[in-house]
Amino acid sequence: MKKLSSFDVLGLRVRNMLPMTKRRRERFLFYMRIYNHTVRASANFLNENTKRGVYFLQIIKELTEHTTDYIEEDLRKQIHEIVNKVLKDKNNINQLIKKQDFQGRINTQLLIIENLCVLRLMKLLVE
Amino acid sequence: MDLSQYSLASTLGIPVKKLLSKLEIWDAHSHIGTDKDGHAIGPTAFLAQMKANHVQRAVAFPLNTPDDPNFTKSNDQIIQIAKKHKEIIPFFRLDPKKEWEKEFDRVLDQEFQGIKLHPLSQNFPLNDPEFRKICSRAQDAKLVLLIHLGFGVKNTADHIFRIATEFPKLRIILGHAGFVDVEEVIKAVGDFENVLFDTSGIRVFDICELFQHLDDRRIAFGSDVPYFTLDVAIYSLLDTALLMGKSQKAIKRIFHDNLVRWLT
Repeated sequence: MKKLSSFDVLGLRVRNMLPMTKRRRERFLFYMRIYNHTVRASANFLNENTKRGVYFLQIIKELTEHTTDYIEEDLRKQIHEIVNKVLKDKNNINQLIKKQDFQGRINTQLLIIENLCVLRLMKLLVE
Repeated sequence: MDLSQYSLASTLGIPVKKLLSKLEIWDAHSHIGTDKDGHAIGPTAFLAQMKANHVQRAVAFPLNTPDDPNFTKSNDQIIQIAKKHKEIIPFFRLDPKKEWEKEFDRVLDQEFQGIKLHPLSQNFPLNDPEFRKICSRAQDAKLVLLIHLGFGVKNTADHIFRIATEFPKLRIILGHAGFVDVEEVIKAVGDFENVLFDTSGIRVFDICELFQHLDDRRIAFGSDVPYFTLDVAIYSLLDTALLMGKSQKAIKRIFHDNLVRWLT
């Protein structure tokens, strides 16, 4: 687990495992990062630890702010919009998250991001 | 966004858009209206989304509407929309803690095909006696029962097993496939003829679980619009089906045939 916590090490492993081009490897790690932070945000929201949940969403927001990779532009934008939508209520999340149906709604939004990442990762693996 | 460019299917050389336009898609789980939490979708936007994504018909019911505790107004809105648009398969909502029998009797002669219940939003446990009474009435009226088994619902398997056993003629759609407890729910009712697992709002990995352990006849596509995005829901299911080696026949069953069998 310690090794996997470093994306650089993971990057090396991915490079060794799969004959990817640098660009593809960067894409792969980009979505792994987003996926990882989304799962962490979701787990924190489920535990009503909203501060940490919001923290991970802010990382995703920064990661998806810009890209020079035009192929990923549409997907980046969609993920960014979902995160912004959730963070829009940042100041109220503390209250909302205690209501379980609202908690579920936030996590459903994060689940869309998870699925987008997994779909993209699957495609990158077989491309 | 055109998700087909990111689809695994396109990498496998499958013409995705052509496939989707030929594949008939029925959606087992969607909402129209306004929710207390601010989510909202009107019939025009809803139908436009369906058209853009090649969805022919959709089970639709009200959201957790504010200021409509017994869902009377919202149920009326759904039936009005369904009368105008045959693409909509109307389900009504009830609150087991309110005067549900009055609402049930009121809408019984209308063209509703099922009931949607939400244990979390309406705050009732799955062993609630009123819930069992609704199941009994639904079975007698030959209505399909769709129950939310997603975020926030716990220990679902035993309760669903009891309901599915006690009411063998009641057709039950497990909303979100009971993903919070999916292994146990599959073990408990996975081979029940009167149970369908809808794929709305679930992770790709949970879709894999369903594909691995369930007969294709037990799974139905669902979107959870407007909480979930229709195109992401379709591609999540389609790509996972391809990855898991599902046949064209199986894909057709999941996106269409299984729901048609129950609702026509």
